[in-house]
Amino acid sequence: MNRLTRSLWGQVLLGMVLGVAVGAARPSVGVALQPLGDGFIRLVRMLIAPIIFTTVVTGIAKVGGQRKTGRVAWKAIVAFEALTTVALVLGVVAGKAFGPGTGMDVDPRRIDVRAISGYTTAGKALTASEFLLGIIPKDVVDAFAKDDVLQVIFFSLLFGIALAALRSAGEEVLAFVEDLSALLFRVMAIVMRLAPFGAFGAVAFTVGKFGPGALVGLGKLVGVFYLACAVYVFVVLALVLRWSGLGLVRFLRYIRQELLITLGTSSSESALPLLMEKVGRLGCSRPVVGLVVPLGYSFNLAGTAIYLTLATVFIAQATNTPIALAKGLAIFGVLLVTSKTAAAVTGGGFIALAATLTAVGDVPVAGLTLLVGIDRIMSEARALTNLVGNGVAAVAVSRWEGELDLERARRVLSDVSAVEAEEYAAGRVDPHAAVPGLDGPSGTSQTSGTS
Amino acid sequence: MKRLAHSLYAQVLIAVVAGALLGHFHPSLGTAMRPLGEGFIKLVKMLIAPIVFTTVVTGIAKMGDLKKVGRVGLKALVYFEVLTTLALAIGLAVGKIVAPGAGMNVNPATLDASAIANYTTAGHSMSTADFLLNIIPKDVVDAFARGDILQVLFFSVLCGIALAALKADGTRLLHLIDGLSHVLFRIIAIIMRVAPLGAFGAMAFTVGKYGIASLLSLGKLIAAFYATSLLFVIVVLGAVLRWTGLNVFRFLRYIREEIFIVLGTSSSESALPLLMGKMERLGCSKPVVGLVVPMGYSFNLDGTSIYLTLATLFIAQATNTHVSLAQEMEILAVLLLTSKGAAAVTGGGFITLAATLAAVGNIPVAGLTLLIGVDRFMSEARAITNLIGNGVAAVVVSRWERELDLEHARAALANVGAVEAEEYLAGRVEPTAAVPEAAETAKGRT
Repeated sequence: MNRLTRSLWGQVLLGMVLGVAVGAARPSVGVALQPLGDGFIRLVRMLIAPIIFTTVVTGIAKVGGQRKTGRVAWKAIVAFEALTTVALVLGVVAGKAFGPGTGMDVDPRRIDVRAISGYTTAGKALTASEFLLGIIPKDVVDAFAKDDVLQVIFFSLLFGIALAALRSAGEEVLAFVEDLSALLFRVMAIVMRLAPFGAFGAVAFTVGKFGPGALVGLGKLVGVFYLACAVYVFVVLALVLRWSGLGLVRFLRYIRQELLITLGTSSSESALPLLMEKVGRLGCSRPVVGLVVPLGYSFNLAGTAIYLTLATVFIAQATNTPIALAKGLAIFGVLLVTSKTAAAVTGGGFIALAATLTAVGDVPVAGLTLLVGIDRIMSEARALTNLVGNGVAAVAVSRWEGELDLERARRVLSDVSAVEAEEYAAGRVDPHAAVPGLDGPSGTSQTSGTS
Repeated sequence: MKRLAHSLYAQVLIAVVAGALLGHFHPSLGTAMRPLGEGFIKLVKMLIAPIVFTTVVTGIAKMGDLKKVGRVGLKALVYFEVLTTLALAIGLAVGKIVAPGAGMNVNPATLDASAIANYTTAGHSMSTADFLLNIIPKDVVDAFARGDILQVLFFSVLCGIALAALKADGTRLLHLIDGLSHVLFRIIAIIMRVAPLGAFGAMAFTVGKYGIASLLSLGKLIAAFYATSLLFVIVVLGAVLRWTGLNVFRFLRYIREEIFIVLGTSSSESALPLLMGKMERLGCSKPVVGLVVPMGYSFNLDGTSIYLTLATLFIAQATNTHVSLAQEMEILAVLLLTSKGAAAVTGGGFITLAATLAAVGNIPVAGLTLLIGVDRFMSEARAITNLIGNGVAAVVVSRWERELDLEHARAALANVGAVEAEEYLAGRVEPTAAVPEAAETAKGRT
């Protein structure tokens, strides 16, 4: 019990269990707990833009050189493209093999589309040049104010390259950005103390609002989706990791804290800063992590990719819309693009789906209504798969760059609790608040000893 | 060929010509190049607010004297007022003498005013109190997020003065802002590598969309405007520069890079950071440049001023509206105010014109419709004249403050190629991409 309450992942797990209990026993109370979950996600999100900026800038400036940056970014994009394409294929295969929508005989004209009007209007597809122009901020500060992750990454890249080119003239600025980064991660550590409450509130809300009942109606679709995600993680990502020289199960155990926070909040963004730090500690090179993870949150959404094809096939099956091979390939082509632009927000996959169906025009968009009720539950598996996928991508690209410290990574993975204890001692989780009655003095001295 | 790769201005010039050719011979393809130009302008614009901030703060903090800041600001405003009034008067005079609109006999009632509805609604004039209040940001970060130059300038001046007052306590922060300024200018150098692409796209779009043919319809007006702008630059600015001890033609040659970028993009803002760096390198004092150039982008729009009076008279002549001498003076007075509020954006002059016509009331606002087709072409000359005017303003105010290093300036003007090469080696233009072999030698020397 002691170990469980001391570790963040144990606390988050506890929060989730309590959340399920409250949501199931008292749905109205569970729904009322929504602000706890939303508040936690907001706390993390407010820090994401500056954390990305400081991480990317220090990463690039330290290793220096735009050539390397360009190479890493290019490799990352190739890796993302390959990984998400596999995910899209997997979704189609799962949909075809299990036919989760077959026999539902839904008439699209009789569906009430009001529930999804918000999504369909938001999901207007961008042209390529609009998308590219959109990456350039109107003004630098505006990019941070609007929290536009791609714009922030773009400016951070330029800033980092310029700083690297300045060499010694830029030392002062670099030192400052590093300090800022340390400060932001420290703020994050403080915020993370609230993760158990956030997970508790979000889970209580989800269970209370949608309930286990929502699962029954579309149980087959949910089952197939979870299965497809599991196959993706345990087969595809496991192979990628094996190629890098690491074992998947140990890797999952290593990032269990992040997994649980994502599961609890059903938003993979809420674990982004933690994941960057953790993959870095594993032995991946910092500049690679700084580039790959934030970029992956926009371009490497494997879970979302599986969901997009599977849901499209499902809607077609449920509404008895036949899809010819040519049409299927067209849908696939559109999804290759839309899946990249789906932002990593809760429900973002839903908007991308609406955009895709609108763009293709054959499969009735109204069919989305069928999915509204279970979207939150799908969102859990989506976010988890996205998270694991980004962690693995960072490892793989590091390995590809020949910058993965394999010795270190193996040692770290084989002794996860030692790493967590070390983190704990280093004050990433403030010891006083986590365990009030427990041996405080040692924790305090160690905290003040670290930089 | 190697020299060509070194010189940004030559690349931009080639791109402008190529863009014009593409736009002329393949209008639809030319129009499709628009995102290239827009993207480039966006790239530069995203950095203008922070660059103004870091330049002004470091400039003022190093100057360290509140009285001096006030004096420089006042001198700049006096100079701006004199020069823009002169520009307005010249536009009026040319309009009277050349009469580019005479004999067009346009009936304003038959004009379709819907095309200009956007401009006329955007162009209601502000009261002085509103204008002054608007210089104060709602929130400091908001000023940066919206990229409002006057607000950023205002906050930067306060920041610089406060930093100077802190003396030793502020040195660490001052160093940091100074370092930030270097990083930002380095980013500009990286962005400038795609300047030829931007100039190409913007030019192809302009020519493809509006076509050379639109030039012919109002040829007399355009010719009058270009000639007046040229005259203004060479005679008026030439005389001013002569007073400071420099030659205008050499000066123009010195800022050829900036001129070509503005020509290509028809936005004087796209060269603002470059112009600031170049004026400092000429020997103008840094705080003066930091204050005068950004202020000038709001208050010293010589090209826009010429355009405003000339276009007003043109519309009056074309619609056969009689304008008495008293009314001319009234127009001049109104324009003295409205021309200051015109922001330095592409097409900004058009909005000001709408506001002015609405304020004067005699000349039909619908007459603006006549100008829409050619506005983009007028915009080119406007932006270039504004750019040159602001460069000259920085020199003049520096001289007035006795802070112009005349020896250095003459040497720089005499040998532009050497300055550009030096800039190149100092890495202002990122060497690695353009010429790989040269990059290694550059690294060896630093």
